[in-house]
Amino acid sequence: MADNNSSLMAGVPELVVLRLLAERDMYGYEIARAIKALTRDALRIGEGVLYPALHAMEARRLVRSRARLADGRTRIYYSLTASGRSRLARLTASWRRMSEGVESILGGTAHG
Amino acid sequence: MAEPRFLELRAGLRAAGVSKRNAQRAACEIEDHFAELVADALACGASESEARRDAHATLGSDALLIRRYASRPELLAWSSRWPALWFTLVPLGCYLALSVASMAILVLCLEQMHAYLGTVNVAPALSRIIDRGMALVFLGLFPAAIAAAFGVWALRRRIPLRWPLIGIAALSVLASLINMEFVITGGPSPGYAGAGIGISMRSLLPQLGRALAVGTLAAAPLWFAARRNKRNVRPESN
Repeated sequence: MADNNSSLMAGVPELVVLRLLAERDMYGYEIARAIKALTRDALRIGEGVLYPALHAMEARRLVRSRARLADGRTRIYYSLTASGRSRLARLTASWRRMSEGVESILGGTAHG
Repeated sequence: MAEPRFLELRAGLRAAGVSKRNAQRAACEIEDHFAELVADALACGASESEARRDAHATLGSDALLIRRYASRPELLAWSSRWPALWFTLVPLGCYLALSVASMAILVLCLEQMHAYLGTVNVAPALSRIIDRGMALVFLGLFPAAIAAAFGVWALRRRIPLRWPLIGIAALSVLASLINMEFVITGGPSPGYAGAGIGISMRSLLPQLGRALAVGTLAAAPLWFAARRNKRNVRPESN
């Protein structure tokens, strides 16, 4: 499994899920599979994290859910709300700021 | 395919204070997720038992999942989110609402029976029995039943017992401060119903006695349920 600092990773599931849902509506299994495939296994957001995160985001009205019949199964599809979009913009900006800061240290440009 | 694991998961989530809706949805979605994992593994050539075993392993431990749900206040039921408020003040509100509604129904019945009561005379002894019976129901049975129900509810939701115990004490004291009268005389004055709240040094001792009796009656089911829970806890085996 990829190295996983829990405090560093705390906001990642929310950011990643919101980003994926910004593309299109998805259901839980599809989100888990997309994360695995897109990050080439570097990021693993287990089911034990994904579903509580999804349901908490729905309670905070960042996403909304809708049951849809697909392949003979009723699946719960999640889509982004307007609040979810603005939350995604904020989280993306702060993630970029943080990663640029870390990158500048790792790249050795922090010391003058 | 009904997996016992997901029924247990739902029960575990409810016991941890997760709201009914969220517990139900979590169990359903995770069961669907499990079915998809199994279907994918079967499509890749795994045997049924391998596919199911791997799917269970991928989902991880239920205890961890329950802990993650329980750590998010927005996913909890109101009773678990605000236990102090829920188990101390809500029983008082329920008791007052039930008493007012029941009293209104009684007064309505008395109004409807007005014509009939005007033609009969109710013996004073019978009137006293009715009055005492009503007092027993309103000031004893109602508060004790409500407080006991909230107590057992708190125990099932693993809420710290101090909250339902404070609720029982508050409800017992409130019920002991209320005085009510329900008189049916018949004849020209068919009767009346009334209630008031008050405390006086003269009635302090009987009121304390009433509060103690109601409190004991309400705490008894909680005590029995807590004892049964304790007996049912088995030492964990490795």
